[in-house]
Amino acid sequence: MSTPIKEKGLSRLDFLKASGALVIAFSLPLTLKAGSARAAGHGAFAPVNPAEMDAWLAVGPDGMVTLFTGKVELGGGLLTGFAQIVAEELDVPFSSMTVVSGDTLLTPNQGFTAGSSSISGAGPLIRQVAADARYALLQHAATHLGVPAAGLTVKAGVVSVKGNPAKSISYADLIGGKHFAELLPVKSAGFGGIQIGGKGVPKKPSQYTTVGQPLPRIDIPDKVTGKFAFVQDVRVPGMLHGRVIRPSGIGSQLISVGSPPKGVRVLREHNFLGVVAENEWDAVQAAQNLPVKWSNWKGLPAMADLYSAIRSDASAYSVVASGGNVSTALGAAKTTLQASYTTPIETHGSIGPSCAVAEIKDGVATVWSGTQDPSSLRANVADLLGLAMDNVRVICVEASGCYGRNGADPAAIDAVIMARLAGRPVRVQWMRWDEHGWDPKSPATVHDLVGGVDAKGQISAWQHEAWIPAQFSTTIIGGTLVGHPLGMGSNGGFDGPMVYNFPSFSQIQHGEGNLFSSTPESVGIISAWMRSPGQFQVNFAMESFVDELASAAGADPVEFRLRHLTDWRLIALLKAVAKAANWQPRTSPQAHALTGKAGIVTGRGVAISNRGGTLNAQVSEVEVNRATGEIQVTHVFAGQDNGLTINPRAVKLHMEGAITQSVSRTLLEEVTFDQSNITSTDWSTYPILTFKGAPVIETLLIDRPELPATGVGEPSVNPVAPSIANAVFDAIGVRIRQLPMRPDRVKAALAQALQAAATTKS
Amino acid sequence: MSLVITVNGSKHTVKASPDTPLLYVLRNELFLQGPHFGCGLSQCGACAVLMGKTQIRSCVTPVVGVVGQPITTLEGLPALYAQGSGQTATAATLHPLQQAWIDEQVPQCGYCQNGMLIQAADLLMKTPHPTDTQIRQAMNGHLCRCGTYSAIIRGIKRAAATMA
Repeated sequence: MSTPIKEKGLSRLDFLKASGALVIAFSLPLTLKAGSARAAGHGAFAPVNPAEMDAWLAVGPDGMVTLFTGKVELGGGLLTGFAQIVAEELDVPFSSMTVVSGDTLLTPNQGFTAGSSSISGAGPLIRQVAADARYALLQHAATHLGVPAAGLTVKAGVVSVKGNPAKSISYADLIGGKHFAELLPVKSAGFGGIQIGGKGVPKKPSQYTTVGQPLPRIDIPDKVTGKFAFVQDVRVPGMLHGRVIRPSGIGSQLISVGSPPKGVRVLREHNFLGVVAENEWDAVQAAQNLPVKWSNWKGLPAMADLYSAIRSDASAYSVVASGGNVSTALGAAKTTLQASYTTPIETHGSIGPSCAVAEIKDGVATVWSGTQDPSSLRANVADLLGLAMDNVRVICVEASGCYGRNGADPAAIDAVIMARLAGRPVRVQWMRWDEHGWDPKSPATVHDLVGGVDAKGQISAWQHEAWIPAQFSTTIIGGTLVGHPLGMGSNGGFDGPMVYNFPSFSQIQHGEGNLFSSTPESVGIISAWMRSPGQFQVNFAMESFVDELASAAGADPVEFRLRHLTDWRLIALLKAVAKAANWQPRTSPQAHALTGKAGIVTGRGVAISNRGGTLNAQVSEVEVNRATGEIQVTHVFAGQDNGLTINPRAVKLHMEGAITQSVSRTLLEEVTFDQSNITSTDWSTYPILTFKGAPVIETLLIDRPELPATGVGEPSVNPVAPSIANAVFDAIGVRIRQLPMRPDRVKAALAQALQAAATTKS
Repeated sequence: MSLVITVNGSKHTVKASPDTPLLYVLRNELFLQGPHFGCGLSQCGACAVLMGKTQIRSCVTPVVGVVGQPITTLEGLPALYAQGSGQTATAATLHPLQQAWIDEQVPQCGYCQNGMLIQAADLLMKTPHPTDTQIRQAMNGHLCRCGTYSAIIRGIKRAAATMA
């Protein structure tokens, strides 16, 4: 969206008038006035009432329809999907849709845009609101045309009498410049946002003409011409450019600061340090060159001890899911296996470092941010500044992709701190090392698995015990540094539903807080969600170990999985993907896979997952260079069943991106640290996949329009790591149980396996 | 003495000091939104622009270094193409690569796509019909975190076919 010109006391109505999207009303005069809202006891920015239809939809005099949503675009095409849903229910052309998103002044509070929950959770809500609007419009059209609503039909925003198309009225003519003035019953509020609904009956999927179509995304044209304004492009009059200077160690205290060069101001509050300047380059240089003394802090373990530290850190033990008696079944098993897996700390690695602009004027704060959750950022800003929520406005402007909780919220708080200290609006952009070093991290995890196979070649016992640090911390580093803690810590959790019908199984978690947060002066390594938090890691261990048991049972990995599946959709999906990949049944590894001969060999592996009801199956094909240990993922055949698909093209491209990113996580990505701080602070120390490593991906969607739409942003990441690990095992006969599968690790594992084989022989 | 640079066919007098990276001049003096700050280290390519027919990283190129050289940003690609193909500057509203990016629905978040389009323009000026391997080789220094590499390869092939 374009950034509206802001002034104190601007009302939602002013915005609507300015944008030409007048709120519709059939009877009442316009009541949404800034003055009346303030008179009723509100601050500068009156809250948006989600129980009013006007909060969600507006029709302009030109017939253009605007949807207002608290959800935000993160780069996957969510707003295009929402626009398709509304256009479908209202029967208006897709081209007449506009979406205003994530502005606490203009849009209803719909919580986080996270967890692939927006189409699944907010999609039905938006569909219902649009159906309710259509219902209301038809009632009024019925009065106008003198025909019962049942005798009317709608095409391209024009209501006409069935069998008499000349007798008609457009939505635009019908509603003039008035409010809907319809109230919507609020049903519930939860992670997916509020649920509301009135008398409108949404269309049946068999009637869809806009939903399910591969329409082009509304945001893409501006993204290829330079017209698109990211949060990094927001400017406000009188703003200064700011940069932060972070502590040398995570828990270091600020001892002294030297003098800044001309044109630069140093801003300091407790351990928070930053610089501002009229000229951005001056601020950049000063942040790098300013003489600063920090105390020596060494509260992190040595990196080599990461996984033992995670095993020994304080944790909350719980059994997440279980069935049967695992120990009895293990005792009776023909073959038992055990194995441990580890996954590293990862960074979100947004290409554009986080950026925000904050302005504080006359007791009112406005913040432009790429946050996933304007409402919680609003609360944090209000808390920090001691303002009422109604005196804080958060305007979401799309940022560089975040893939979870990156530096967006912390950068926004940095901007607020600096705007308060400077007495001027401040734009803060993190430098590359700030983002790599200080964005909340995806935590490292440890997994112990034990399994048993019975005489019939069935898995009879399964135990998965995982140590998982915080994945949902919202701790904001700027708050900690100024001595005003913001956000909350969290405990990690096991995420990975049991998709197999094992007669006995247990899934056990040791949930932990932020990594190494036990020292009083440090918050440790703040860890938060990153694309499919927990499940990316859990599924690597789970689906790798299923393959280990398949090999022990002498079974083909696809056939072995099918033996244990009961979900007909997952069975159909796995079969479809195996067929697309031309999967030929045989056991893994291939004959003579384990050898010391140099050369490039190929392998194939399969894995499946269920995330929030979205089912995925993938076959990965790899080339492994035995001499160097390098893995090239050549092909990925990726199938997905997400129920109803709103936009198949956008979904397939989203899957392709998610899988490519996950290949990168699987092969390359690992945050490094010393005892003071993160040391992987740029793209050379934290390499990601490049064009040369990008696999050819073939996506396959099983569309089930009769079933509810489930999430599509995260689920396809889950089979990637295990399908690659299984393919590597197939190729070289060596099981890699540690991510990332870097060449040196593969090479060392191969050497070790060869040595073990030689010892067994002799 | 102030510097004069040529960006998208127009001359601009620069206020910044000569050592200021070109990126900050393009964004803060010319208010261009195509080139983005990504790393400031010449590692990712989000800031790329064309100097003549060659892609450069504006985050590490001092503005003084481009004096006398024609600079083209993402915003100037349509005019550059129109000029190169003998059309009037207003004939094309989009460079064929930009159109191909829309047709293939390439971007996810889109932040890196400036550099991708600039590097692809550089490639197609020198190698009008690149193979897959040539594309991967030429594009390899540009990072995309959303994972649009395959879509970009399709986009370049589509544009090359259009421009033939």
